[in-house]
Amino acid sequence: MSQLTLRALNKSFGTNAVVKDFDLTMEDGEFISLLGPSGCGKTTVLRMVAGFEAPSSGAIHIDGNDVTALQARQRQIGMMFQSYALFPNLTVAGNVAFGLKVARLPRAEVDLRVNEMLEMVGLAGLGGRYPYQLSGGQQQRVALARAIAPRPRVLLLDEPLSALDAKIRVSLRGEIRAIQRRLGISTLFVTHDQEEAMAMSDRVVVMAHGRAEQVGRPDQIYNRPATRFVAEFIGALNLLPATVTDPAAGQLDTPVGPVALNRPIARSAGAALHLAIRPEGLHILLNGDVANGPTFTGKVLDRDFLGPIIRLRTEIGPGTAMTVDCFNRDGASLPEPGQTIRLAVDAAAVFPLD
Amino acid sequence: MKRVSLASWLITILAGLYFLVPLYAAFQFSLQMKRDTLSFAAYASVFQSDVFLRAFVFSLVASLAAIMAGAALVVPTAYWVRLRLPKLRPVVEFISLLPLIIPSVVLVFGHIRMFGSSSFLPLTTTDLGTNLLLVAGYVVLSLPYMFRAIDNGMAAIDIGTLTEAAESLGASRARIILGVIFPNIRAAIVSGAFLTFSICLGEFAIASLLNRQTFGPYLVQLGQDRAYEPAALAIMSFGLTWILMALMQAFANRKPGQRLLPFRKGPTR
Repeated sequence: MSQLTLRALNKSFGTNAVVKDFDLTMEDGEFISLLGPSGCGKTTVLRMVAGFEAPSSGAIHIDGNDVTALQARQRQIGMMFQSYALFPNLTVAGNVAFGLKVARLPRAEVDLRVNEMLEMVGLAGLGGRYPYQLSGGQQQRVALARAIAPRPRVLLLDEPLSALDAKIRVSLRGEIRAIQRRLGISTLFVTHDQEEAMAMSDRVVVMAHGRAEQVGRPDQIYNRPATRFVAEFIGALNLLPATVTDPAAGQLDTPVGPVALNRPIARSAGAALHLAIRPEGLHILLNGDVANGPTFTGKVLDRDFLGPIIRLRTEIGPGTAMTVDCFNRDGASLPEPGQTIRLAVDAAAVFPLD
Repeated sequence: MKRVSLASWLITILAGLYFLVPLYAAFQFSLQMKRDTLSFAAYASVFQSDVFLRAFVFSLVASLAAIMAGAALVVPTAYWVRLRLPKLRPVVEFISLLPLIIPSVVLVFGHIRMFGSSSFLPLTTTDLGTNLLLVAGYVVLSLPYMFRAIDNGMAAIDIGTLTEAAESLGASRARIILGVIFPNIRAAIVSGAFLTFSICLGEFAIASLLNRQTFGPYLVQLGQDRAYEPAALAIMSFGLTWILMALMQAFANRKPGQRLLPFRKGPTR
């Protein structure tokens, strides 16, 4: 429906700069997550888009119109809050109708739209209930219906799933995404939950200390993190200190022996860096298996059963730990703690980081 | 279960007697207007008095005006202070408590000096002006109760987020206050209103010095002139206060959509 552009946004509270030079262009109908630890400025960005905070500098455009100076109520945005924020004195239908009545839609049209919205969020027939008579998940559905009823140009979601329990969280995020796709409404979603961000988004903005560290599709963010912060924040990660010995051939030296990546590295010889390896980029070599890449030998320290996968913590050298994920296959023999195993690395899955 | 000791029972009973015995004595006395028989003659006599009815109705109207003016003043103020000026809250709270510290005699003399016949705004020279001063005085007297009740009511709901939710839906400030804040703190406003009402009903100093014929001065006058009627009036005032307290409870505990009385079904839409 709409394009949202944030240009060089800055926000300071006193001397404390919480958002620094934040740029983002959101395409029509795109779902973008702002992901980061608490205090990274993601909520402040969202609140500036909503109009609840004024940026210290920079500009916000919706569909090419500068809305930076507009009040929240003039921006035609829809918003969902972590605490639902339903009006306790109004029924479900009254809540959904609120924005429509403010916009002075004719009564018949209000009723029609309210029913349509409640049907969409799966609450048809509950229009006469009051918020206190609903479960958390139902309340948040009402909040979604209320936010999208006036057909906002941009939908803003401020951690709407954080207050719900795990199962409802997963099902509701699927529904929010499905409705967002169906309506084609541009959506900005703030979360500290990387799984949520990965599962729901077209693109993810990973934020740290008020800046966008990386903007990209979930697979790009996960497979090719641009910075060490992103790599460490998203998923589990092994970091192996290394020194480049031959940049052209991709040869490096590590505390546990030389490693060959067999592709050029954009560093000079002697440069110190870290090799980043995801736990699923390693696999256990059984007796007789031949590796076509770097290998390590390590001792299993402990073993976590996580359901579909089993996570092993190993020590591949003095003080050098390496976490390995393997699939849980019924009947497969698993290494016991204390056992020595050989690990093979897929060289393509190893990426250098500072 | 905790064992309730004999001592605490004793204290409760003594405290109950301390409260109930004079009340009962007054009630008993109020029934003795006719010699050798118990009757409600004193009550009938009170209600037959035109002066009583006029004073009571005048007090009623003045208190209602004070309640409305007070709510119109306090709700937006408390809202704005909570939302935008939280640092000022202790100051506003202190100001709201001033009527408890400064005697109302001081207030009414201030009124008379400020708005007397030789002032730039001689309100005391007309009936309407004096009535306005009376209501203004009542508003000031009720501030400690009104502000506290409404401020507590706002603490109970997340007015910040509700305001933002309404703003994101396009609502103006006035619409937010009237359509979102007011209805959600209605119970608080009502309890503030009942407290205001009972204060205004018994108020003497302001009404007397402004020469308004309200319930308070009437009660005092009656106490000087008659024997049995004041006791009857006191009992009735007690009854009225208790009814107000019960209403306050009913309003405070009511959930949205519930009727005050159970025999009517709530709305289904």
